[in-house]
Amino acid sequence: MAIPFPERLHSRAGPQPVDRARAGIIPWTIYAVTFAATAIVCGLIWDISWHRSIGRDKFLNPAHITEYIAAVVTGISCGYLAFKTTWWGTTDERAVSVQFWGFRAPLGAWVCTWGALSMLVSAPFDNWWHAAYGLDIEILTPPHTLLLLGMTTIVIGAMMMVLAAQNRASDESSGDFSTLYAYAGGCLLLMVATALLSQTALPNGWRSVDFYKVSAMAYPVVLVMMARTGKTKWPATQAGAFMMLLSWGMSFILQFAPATPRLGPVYNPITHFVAAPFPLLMVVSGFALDLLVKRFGTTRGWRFSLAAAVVFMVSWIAAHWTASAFLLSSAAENPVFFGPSQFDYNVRLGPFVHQFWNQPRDATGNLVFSAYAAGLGIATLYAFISARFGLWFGNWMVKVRR
Amino acid sequence: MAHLIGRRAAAITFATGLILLLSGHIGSPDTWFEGTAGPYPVQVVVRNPTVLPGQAQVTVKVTQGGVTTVEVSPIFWNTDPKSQPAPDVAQPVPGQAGTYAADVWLILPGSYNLTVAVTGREGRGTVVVPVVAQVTQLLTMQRPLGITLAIMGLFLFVGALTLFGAAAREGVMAPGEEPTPRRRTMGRVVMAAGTLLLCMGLWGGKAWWDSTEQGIRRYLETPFVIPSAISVENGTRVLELKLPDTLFSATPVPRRRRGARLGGWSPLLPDHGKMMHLFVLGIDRPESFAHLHPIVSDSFNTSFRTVVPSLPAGRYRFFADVVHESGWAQTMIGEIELPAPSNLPQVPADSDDAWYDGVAPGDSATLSDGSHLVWQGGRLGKRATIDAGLNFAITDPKGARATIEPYLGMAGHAVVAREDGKVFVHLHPAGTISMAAQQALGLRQPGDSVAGALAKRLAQLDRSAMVGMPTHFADGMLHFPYAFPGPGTYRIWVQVRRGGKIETASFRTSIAP
Repeated sequence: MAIPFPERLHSRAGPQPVDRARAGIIPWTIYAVTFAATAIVCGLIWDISWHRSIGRDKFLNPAHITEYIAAVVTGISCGYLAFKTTWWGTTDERAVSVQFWGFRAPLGAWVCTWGALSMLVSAPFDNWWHAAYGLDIEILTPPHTLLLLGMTTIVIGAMMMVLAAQNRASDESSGDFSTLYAYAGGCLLLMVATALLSQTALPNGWRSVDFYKVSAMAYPVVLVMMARTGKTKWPATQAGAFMMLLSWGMSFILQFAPATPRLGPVYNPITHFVAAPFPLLMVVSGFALDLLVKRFGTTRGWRFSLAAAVVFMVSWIAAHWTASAFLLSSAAENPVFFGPSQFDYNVRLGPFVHQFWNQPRDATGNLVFSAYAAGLGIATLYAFISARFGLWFGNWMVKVRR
Repeated sequence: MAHLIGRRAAAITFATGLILLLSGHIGSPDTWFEGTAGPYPVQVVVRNPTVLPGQAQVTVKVTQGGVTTVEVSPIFWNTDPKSQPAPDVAQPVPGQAGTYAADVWLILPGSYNLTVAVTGREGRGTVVVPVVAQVTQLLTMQRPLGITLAIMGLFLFVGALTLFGAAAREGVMAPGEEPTPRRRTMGRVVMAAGTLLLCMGLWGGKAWWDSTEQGIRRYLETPFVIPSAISVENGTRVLELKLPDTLFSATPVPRRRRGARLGGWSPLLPDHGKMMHLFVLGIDRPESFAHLHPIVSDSFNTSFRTVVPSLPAGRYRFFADVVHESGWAQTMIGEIELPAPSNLPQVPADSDDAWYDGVAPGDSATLSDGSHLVWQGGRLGKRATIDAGLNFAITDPKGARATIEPYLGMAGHAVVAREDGKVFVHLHPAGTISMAAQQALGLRQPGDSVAGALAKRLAQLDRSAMVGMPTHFADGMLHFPYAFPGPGTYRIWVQVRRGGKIETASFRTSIAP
């Protein structure tokens, strides 16, 4: 089965190969996996909205079908790429591939394939889980985690495929790849933000210490990685913008789609899909980190990470602390900002929808600033670690060529 | 979340390890009901899910009245009926005229008001069917599925490691270059680190899985065994029962379902005028049977006391039926060893107490007044999970249909128990449901949020309800809707009142799978 490389490559006669990526030609497989990444993220948002609006689901509901399509498209395109590259690949195709159990394909294609396979494996496991422990009420269970891992891996794989092509492309032709790469980064950011929906999505929590801690762990790693690896002028900014646009777009469409709760008790008699809240203001911190990279570079890794942590925290707090007041006000109660009343069918709406949650307060109800200071200090430490990992990944990723 | 395989289709591939949850009836989780929804006579069968949340399969049979739609809605006992989603519309079952089926979701463990609404020529009629949702089985993974998943998991594990290695070894090389020894070493180092990472992930996943399993197992195994004591007072054997505090306050439930116990604390309701119906069944001598009504001996309805009638000495299982204000009909269990009775005359503590020692030789039992109680269709050839055909005819000594009087508000009572003690159910002509539970769920109002308020109202109603009851049932026919839950040897006791005397007939039968 093993096809030695590069012996076979060298044995091929003929003219010197032309790397399609270098020539700026985007192969259909890259479009396919980028589409799959989009379908996964959108399907997930739709599915969550389904559970918040309708409550119960069937095997074949549109949100699930979107996920299946993503897995199938990934499987077909990456499987095709592996077989093609292994057996019928041109010299240049084989030259930009890595070996996997004797087969050859681009690294990103293998990552995607692994993701699609783990989605597949999660299915019988999940099915047994439901039979043993009950139907879906919780989002996070071991089989769902495997599924989510598979979905995230597909998004990362799509990113890797675009990344390798971007890194190989000449400076003149990298533009299309770079924008596509920023878009894939946006999908990854949205995937992470969606997985942390209950921790970071609701503006009610945007003044709590926990929000900043969780955000500091989750987002700098991706934003720094994007700022380091993207070849557009503002890669992290673009990724943040794509993330916000996708999230906002899904919510904008969903809020107009009719939905009726099918589980009781119904305390919030909604008539349309419950939209996800207004997206996290990722573009702000993305822009701040892009600026930091432009101004100081990333050569001094530890120092950069420390600066990135501070920059992330300052920009994140500034954006979310201020915006949350508006998003919780009645002025945000419109189809553009989705408003504070977009709650699940089984939630009794009350004044709490307009209030901030989990703020550190003393017995008299005043904010405890020392608790904020301590909490935000810890959050900055998390952001530092997260940024350092982001830079490590980024430093490796800028070199990925296959 | 996405599920790539249909749940129900694959559910049949799993082996099951049955663990009995000691509530509702014992080992008989399905609900059978016969009654009327407004003007329409209906039979409702609810096959409960074995885990929660799960789907209950509801079948409604209604053969009269030009039915156009049948709707069902499961309403958790303490939620406002007005805050419910649109009901599920039951679909006609092909080939079975007048039969409609729907799958409804039961989410929480506890008492549900399953409202069945029938619309037809004579308008709309509704009826409340009490359903107790509970976790009754713990699945074990069947070996083939376990092996398949393990192989797939191993494939993913090795695949992930290969990916780590390939990424570090070749990912960053210029196109066409051969991996250098340094890069190969790097690949191996990354694979080793990846192994560690994945193992940690798997270990965490296993701990997570174990904790979920533990939570449900702990919940399943909570035994509602009533502490009991036998004493002899003046030559009379007295059984005392004390409901454990854990029944009301310390039901361990999985963390995710905390706050959604099987009803939490709720006062007990009288059912047919009795706070408890106690059934005592012989272990050493399975022919021995008593249906007693212990009297509450404290102000909290937690201590009960009864005189044990002339049952022979030996070991006995007892099953105590109580109904909570939430509509949760619960059966608690215990075992006692009776000393030999004294020679003094045994006076029952309650006029509705009855006991019996014997079994009919075939399908016909002779009652003490010479009349007969005949199992129509016979006791042989019965199968599990389908309608048991518990039809009985009472004839007087001359062979004519006999008149019977109400016993505890019903034309008759039946008790079905498997000889191993793993199945026990108390039936009425209305089926497996408790009439008090039906009444409690039907009359609950949003204002009944204070525990005890509804119970008080129902206690008054229960007393007045006795007034308008029919004085006799002339057709001498009894039917108990029910299906045996599984194979085994069963005993069935049928109790009626005739000539002011409570008569008991007993049958023994084997049920095929």
